[in-house]
Amino acid sequence: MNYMPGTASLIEEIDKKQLVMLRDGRILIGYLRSVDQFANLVLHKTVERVHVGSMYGDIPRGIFVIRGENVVLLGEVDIEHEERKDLEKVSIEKILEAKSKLQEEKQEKEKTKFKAMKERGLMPTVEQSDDM
Amino acid sequence: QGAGMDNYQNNEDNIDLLNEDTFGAGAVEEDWELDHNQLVGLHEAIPLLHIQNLKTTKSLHSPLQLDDEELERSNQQLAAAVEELVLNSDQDQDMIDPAIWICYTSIKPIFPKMLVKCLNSTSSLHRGPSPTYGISIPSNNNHDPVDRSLPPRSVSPLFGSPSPSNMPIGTPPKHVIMNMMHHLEQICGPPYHLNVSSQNSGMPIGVPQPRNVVWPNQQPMNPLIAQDIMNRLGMRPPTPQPNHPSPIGSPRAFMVPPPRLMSNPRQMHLPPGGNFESLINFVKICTTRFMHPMPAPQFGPGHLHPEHSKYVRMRQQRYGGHDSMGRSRGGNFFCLEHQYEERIGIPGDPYANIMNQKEKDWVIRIQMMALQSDRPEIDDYYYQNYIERRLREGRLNSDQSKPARLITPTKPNLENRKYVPVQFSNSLGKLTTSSVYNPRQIIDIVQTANQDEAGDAADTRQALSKRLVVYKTIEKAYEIIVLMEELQAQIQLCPPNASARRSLGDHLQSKTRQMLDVLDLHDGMAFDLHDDPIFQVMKIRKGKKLIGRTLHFLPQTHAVTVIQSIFSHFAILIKRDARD
Repeated sequence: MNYMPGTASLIEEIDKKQLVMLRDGRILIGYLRSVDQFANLVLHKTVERVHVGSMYGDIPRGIFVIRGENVVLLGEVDIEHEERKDLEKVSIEKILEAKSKLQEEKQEKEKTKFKAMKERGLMPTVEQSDDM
Repeated sequence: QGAGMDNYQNNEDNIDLLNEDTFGAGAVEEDWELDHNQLVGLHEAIPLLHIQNLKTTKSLHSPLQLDDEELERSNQQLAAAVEELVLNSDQDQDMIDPAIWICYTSIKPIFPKMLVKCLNSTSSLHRGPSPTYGISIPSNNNHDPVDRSLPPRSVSPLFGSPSPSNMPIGTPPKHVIMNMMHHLEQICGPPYHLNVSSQNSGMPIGVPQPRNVVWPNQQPMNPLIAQDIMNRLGMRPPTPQPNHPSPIGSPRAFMVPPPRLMSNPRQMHLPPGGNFESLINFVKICTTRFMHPMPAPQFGPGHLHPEHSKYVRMRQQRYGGHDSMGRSRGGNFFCLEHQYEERIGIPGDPYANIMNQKEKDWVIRIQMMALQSDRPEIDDYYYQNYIERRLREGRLNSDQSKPARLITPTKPNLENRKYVPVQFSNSLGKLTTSSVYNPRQIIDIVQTANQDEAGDAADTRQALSKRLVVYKTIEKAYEIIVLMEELQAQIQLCPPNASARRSLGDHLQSKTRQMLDVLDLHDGMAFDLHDDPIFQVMKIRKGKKLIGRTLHFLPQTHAVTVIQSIFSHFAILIKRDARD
């Protein structure tokens, strides 16, 4: 922070590997190449990491330009400690399969919940939140 | 098939519309081929310059009076001047959005050709294409050659950024014009200040508005050319004005801010167009000259208190060189010892430095400007109060020889004690321990004096409603006291400026009157022991604090009333205080 002591800026995070969490719940990992005053980001060698349980899979995405308002948080990835022993890396197909299975299960649960509520005379509301 | 053809036709229409938007009316309505031929055959024909705003300069000769040689010379001069202006701006390049530099360099080869226009002497009401830097301008159907002003642009400008009105707050003004003025200054005399407010003259993005600068009458250059440049740059034509020194001189020359800026110490005005060296000087000047008369200089968020920044720099020198990741701190803004070349790619990362230092500085500049604020005590509450407290305590952590030690409460170490079974003197054998079947009183429950508050069931409702009234009073009074304290703070910070102080003072007066109403304190009211609203308020903890704060603001008589009430009920209040 040579130029703006006491403040935080994304300029220092440039050219470093970042983990970016978006408002829709996606997690992107890539090298931050450029920012602007709105915190729009340019990510290079981006990889979308999908987590299901203790498994995860990386989908290569290339170059991302992300609009700043959709970013929840971002943080630098420590390359030396990047490997996680508690998580198991799987192939893309497998993780996507697992993810869709998870979605189905969730939907089933929601359906039964709604049905139960309706039976009791309550009107279920659909959650409209921003993160998953 | 018919439908297909229709679509094609429709698409053609759409394309035509788009054509107008993209390429301007010149592509659709006017005969560009004719224009082009005329331009090409220009070296044979007499080049006549496009006359604009003729009626504003009465001393102009008509174009027909200018001879070829003079015009050629002046054309070349113009070409050279404009080229220099826009392309070779090596001063203050950091104020230009780096993203649009590429556009500048790409325009370069086309310039000389674009500068020459011809005006059809038969005045066929045909307005020749003007050098619009690739921006199209809808045709001006004004047939009067005298009133040929540059019409407002209606299409998107060259550089593709949103129009100035859509720019977010915090975007810095582009100071390309400074460079243009520099070069123009070299050609003509220095500019002088003109107090004119001009609207956005529809200039392309990237060229800031030179509102207050006017050029004196140019002798060395052709007045027509000068007109041309000025109209293109959106400046007003020279009018007889007294010679004021322009405040918009070289941005680099801005070392001492004009006295006007220093009158309000609360506000930190960034020097117009200054780079950060001048900003730092500005800050230094602020602090050295004006620190003493004021209790504490109010720095906006984004600027550290000078003592604090000294400390930060010291710390950096101690720990600088490597950050937590083990990477050495790269060539950032003020890091003068490492002047890295701006090259994309470093060994290890071929894609590094895609965002060069200038672009980074540009973003930082925007961010700093967004941090500017008129009321640092609100916007930067935590830092300001922190610094204030530190100053009061007389230390800003400038010496790290003895870091402050945290004193935590210590508990006696009970683990290592030798176990001694409980024994009483003069008793035989073991003591009974308590168990579920033989419980011993472990917790002492003491009845606190709550009797004075509770009534019987009959008047709890009444008591409750009375209490509610008091609660409401307290809340209303709180609202007022907060406002009053804020006004007080503002009055103190504000310079002894009569009008501001008076208005704030009036505001305070009205609020005080409101407060009196709320607390049921009227003029000429005698103190009544049994019906004392102040006491009711004091009985409640929050009310007590409120009264304490209000006392500062109350006029004499009412303050006396309040004190009277406090003293009369002293005993009860003391008891309650002890309980609290």
